[in-house]
Amino acid sequence: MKKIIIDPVTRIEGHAKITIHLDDSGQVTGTQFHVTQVRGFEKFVEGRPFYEMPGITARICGICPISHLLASAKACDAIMAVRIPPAARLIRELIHCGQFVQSHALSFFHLSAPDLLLGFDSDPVRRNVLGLAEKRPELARNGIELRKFGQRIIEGAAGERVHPSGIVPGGMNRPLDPDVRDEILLNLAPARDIARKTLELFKSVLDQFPDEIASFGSMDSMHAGLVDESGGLQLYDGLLRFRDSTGDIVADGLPAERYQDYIGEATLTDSYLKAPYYKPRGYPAGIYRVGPLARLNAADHLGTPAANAELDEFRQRFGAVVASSFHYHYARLIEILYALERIRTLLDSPGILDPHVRAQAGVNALQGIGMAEAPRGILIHHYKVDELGAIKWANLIIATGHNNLAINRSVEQVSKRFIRDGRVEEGMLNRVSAVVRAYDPCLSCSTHAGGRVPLHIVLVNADGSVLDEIRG
Amino acid sequence: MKSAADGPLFIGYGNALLGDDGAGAYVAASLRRRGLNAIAVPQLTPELADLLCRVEVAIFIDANAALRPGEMSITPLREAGHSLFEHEISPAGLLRLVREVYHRAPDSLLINLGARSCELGAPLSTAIRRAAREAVNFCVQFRGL
Repeated sequence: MKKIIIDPVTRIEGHAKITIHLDDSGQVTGTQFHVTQVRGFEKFVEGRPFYEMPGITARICGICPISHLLASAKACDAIMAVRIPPAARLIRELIHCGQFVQSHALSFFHLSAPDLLLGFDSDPVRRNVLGLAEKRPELARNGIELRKFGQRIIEGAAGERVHPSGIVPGGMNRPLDPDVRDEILLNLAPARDIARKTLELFKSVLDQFPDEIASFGSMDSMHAGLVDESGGLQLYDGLLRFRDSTGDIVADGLPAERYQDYIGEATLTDSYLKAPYYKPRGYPAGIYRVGPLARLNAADHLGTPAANAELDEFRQRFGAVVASSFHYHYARLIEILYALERIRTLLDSPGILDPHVRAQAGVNALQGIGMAEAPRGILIHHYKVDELGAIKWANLIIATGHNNLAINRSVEQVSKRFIRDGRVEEGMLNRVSAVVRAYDPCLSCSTHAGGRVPLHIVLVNADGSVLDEIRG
Repeated sequence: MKSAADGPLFIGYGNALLGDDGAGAYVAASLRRRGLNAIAVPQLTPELADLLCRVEVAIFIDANAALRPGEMSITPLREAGHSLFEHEISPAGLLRLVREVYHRAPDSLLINLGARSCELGAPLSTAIRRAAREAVNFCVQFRGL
C-alpha cells in the first residue's frame, strides 16, 4: 500500500489536501479530500446580538462576503419578522449579482483559465495568471475588468468592496445613489461584451478536453438549486429544488424553514468540512451537487434571454442534465451573463431608487433561517436567539460543504483515470487539483497568509518510507 | 469608474482580524484620513492592477513576522518572475501582472512592519503601532517630495 499526498491544493480558497491511496501494483484504491482548517464561527458568535451577525459572519470570507451578508441578513429579517421594503430587495439582488460577476470572474480568468488555456500539462512555473497575462494579455485584462465591474457595484451600492456595511437586518442602510445606477449602466455593455466573448472562446476550446470531461466528476448525483415558481433560476430568493441525474424532480418548493427535513450533515473523521446529504436518501446515497452546474441542472430556465439561449445550447450539447463537473466552468460563464442581464433588469426597475429601504423591528421570533445562492451554491444561516436577541445557537451550511461528497467522488474518478502504475507526474496531479478547482471551493479566504506553500506531493511506501517527492 | 488620484498610490494590506496582520490596513486608513491616495485591502488581488497602471509610484504596506516586532523596513520592489498565484498575489507578482497586461508598471516600494502576533483578534500590538506611526510619517513625507 502506498499513498500520494497533495498538500496544499493550490488555486483554491482556503487550505486542503488530497490523499491518494495506491495498492502494491500502483493502482488507485481510494482517495480523500481533507479540509485542514477549522473556523468555529458558529461557536464564537454565541451571546452576540443578532443584528451583529451580518457583519461578523461576512468575515468568514474575503472573496464572497456578500453571500454571507445576505443569508445572515435574511435570517435576521426572519427574527424581526419583517418583509423588507421592495427597493431594499432590489438593491440586495443587485449587489448579489455584482458579487456573482466578480467571484465567477476570479474563478474562471485567474484560477482555472491557466489550466484551460495554457494546458493541464503546460509548464507549472508559467501555469498561473502571470503566464496567462504573458500569453493572452487581453484575457487577463478582461478578467480584471469584470472583477472591477462587479466590485464597483458592491462598493457603490453597499459602501465598500470587501465586507460592505450597507446590507443590514431589515433591508439596506442606504438607498441606491442615482449616480451609482447611471455609472453601472454605463459600464454594463462592455462587461456583457467580455462575458459573451469569453463564452465563445471557452466553447471553442472545449473539444480539447474529452478525457477531462469524461473523468472530472462525470457521475450520477442530484443537483440542488433555488428556483422561482416558474422553475426559473433564482439567486437571492426562491425555493429549494432537487433534481436527479435522469431529470426527475426529487423535491421541489422547499422553503428555507424546512431545510433540516431535507438536508442532513455527516461528520467526517478526516476533514473539518461536514458532508451534507439529501436526508430522505440517507448518507452517502443522498449525494448532491450545488453551484453553477447544479443550478443550471435544477432550473427549467434562466429567465433572461441571452443566458437562456446559452443554456439551451449547453443542454443541446451535453444533455438535459449535464453530468460532468468539468462543466462547472461553462456554467459559471453562463451565470456571469445571466447576472449581467439581471443587473440591467434591476436597474431599470422603477422602484430601485426609492429612499425607503429599511424595516425597523425588534425580536419578534426566536429563530431565523436565511438561504441564498452563493456563487458556489446554496448558503444557509440558521440562528436561535433569546428574548433580548442574543444568539443562543447558530448553524451555517456553507456552499462548498454541500459539494463535499461530490468533490471526494470526483477526486477519486480523476485519480483512477490519470494515475496508473504508481506514476507520479505533475500534469497528472494537476488534474487532480483541477477537479477540485472546478467546484471553486471556498474553504476559507478571509485569512491573509504571509507566504505561500507550493504544491507538495509525497509518495509514501507501506513501511512509511518516502518513495518519491515532488515540489511544485 | 473610480480612478486613482495624482501622486503615489498607497496600498495597505492584511487581515484586520488577525492582530498585527492588520497593520498595513491600519496605515492605509490613517493615510486616507490625511487625504492621501490610499486603500486598505485584506489581500492583493488582480483587479488592483487597474489602479496600479494609472500611477507613477506605488507603495505597499504589509506586516511581516520575520522582522523584529516594531521594526520597519523599506525596500524597492522589482517585478516578479513567474510565481504561484492563488487568490492573493505578492506585490512583486502584482507589478508583473500590471506590466504584462498594461505594458507599464509603477516604481514601487514595500514597507514591512515587524509583527509580534498575528493571532485572532483586532488590536494591534504596541510594537507594531509604533512602527505603523513611523510608516505613516514616512508616507506623508514621501507624498510631499
